[in-house]
Amino acid sequence: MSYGARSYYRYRKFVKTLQIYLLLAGPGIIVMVADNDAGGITTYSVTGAQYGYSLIWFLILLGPIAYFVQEMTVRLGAVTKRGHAEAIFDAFGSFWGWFSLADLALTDWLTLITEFIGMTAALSIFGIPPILTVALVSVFMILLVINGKYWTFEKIVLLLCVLNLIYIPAALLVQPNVSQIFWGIIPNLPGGPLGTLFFLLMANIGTTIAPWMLFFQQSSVVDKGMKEKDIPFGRMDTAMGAVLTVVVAVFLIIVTGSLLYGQHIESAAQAAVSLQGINYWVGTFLAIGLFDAGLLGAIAISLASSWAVGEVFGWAHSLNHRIREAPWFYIFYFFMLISAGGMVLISTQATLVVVTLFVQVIAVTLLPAALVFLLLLLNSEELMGKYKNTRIQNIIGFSIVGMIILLSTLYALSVLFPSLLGGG
Amino acid sequence: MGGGKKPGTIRRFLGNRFRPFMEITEKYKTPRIKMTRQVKWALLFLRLYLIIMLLILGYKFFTTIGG
Repeated sequence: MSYGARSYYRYRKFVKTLQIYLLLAGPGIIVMVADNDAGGITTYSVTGAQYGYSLIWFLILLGPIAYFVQEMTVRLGAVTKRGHAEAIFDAFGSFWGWFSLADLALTDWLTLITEFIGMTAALSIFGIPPILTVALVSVFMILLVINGKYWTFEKIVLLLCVLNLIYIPAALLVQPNVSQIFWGIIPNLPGGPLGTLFFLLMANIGTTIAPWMLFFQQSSVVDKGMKEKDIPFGRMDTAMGAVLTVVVAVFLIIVTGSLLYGQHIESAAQAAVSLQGINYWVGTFLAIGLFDAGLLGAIAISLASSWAVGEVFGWAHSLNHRIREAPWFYIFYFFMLISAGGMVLISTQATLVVVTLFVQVIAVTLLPAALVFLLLLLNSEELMGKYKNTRIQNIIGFSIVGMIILLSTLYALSVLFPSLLGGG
Repeated sequence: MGGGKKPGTIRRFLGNRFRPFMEITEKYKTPRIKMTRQVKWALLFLRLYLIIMLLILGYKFFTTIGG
């Protein structure tokens, strides 16, 4: 075969692979970008304002960790053709099944409230009242799922994921100091109270690995109809998502680290208003990004719960079904959405603060169970066959899960008892 | 007459509501995963972890509400 023919063959093969990837891409990117939800954007804003660029290395480190955990859900979904909730019921019995499902539904509902808080705060910067934001978001999210096609849903959500990259132009506008960013990539521990640093490190872990992500991606892989042969593309999709999630986090830290360094920032909305005072467009971009993050989070979280409940109760639970074909699945989705949005409108500020506080802790009670179940399922020969975890994967997996359980528990305790670690 | 029928109706209504839960509990009564020593230890760890977390959460919840 001549050099020209060989090159053409390689080119055709690359194009074909790319086409298949673009067909199969979606769940990994969506779950990872949606992971940077309203709470995540607040965490990154505070991290940048508190420590400048110093913790960029830590966020880069969280990318591979998130990839490793989520990749297991791709394999589990593609091999078993079951969502995570159903897999837990089947493998570990009804006690653990009910526990996981109830905890997931509660955590997701509370998290959904925090997404609405983020979205209403973001749009209130532009003078839009919360009631209008909740109404518009609810209508959009209902229209998004009722078309009866997973493909359409996925492509629209991927467009929202692209909007999440708005922090890149925002970072370019602030003209950051590139050499200082470089130093932030090198692992280091910034000065200041250890308790505060530890709290923020743990908050960043908490926002990168969340229980709903496992349930969402596995159900999404099943709904998309991915098979064993598609696992390499699922891995590419997840890796791409992990890169995007880190890019978003790093560029946001560059924005707040450049302009708000040293200021006391408590929320992303507050950061956006402060930024508008310095550079109007940068603040506006942050507000738009916060709204988009809340919307993506709300979509993914509502679906994670609806898929999980649908799987367990045996309802038709695919986005490829129309409302009349899967009524309970959609009713549950609408209920989650409208009740969470309504709570934001009728609750007092004090109640919402308590919700924001407890959601992180309740999520931590589910996270160890979800991660341990994931590892045990991935080690089951009869379930996974040749796709079960290898020894290396187990060493990495158990190390990551052990570390996440330890740090997220400490995080939960420091949220409940702020003086515990000397922070606060 | 109507009063005599009431308890049965309520019981039937509640029974119908809870039937799916009971059916699911029955369906997944027996764990399918092989109960090796590692699996048993992992599940024991999870039970203890959850009991401790729930106790802490309950304590904080009631002290927050009370305070």
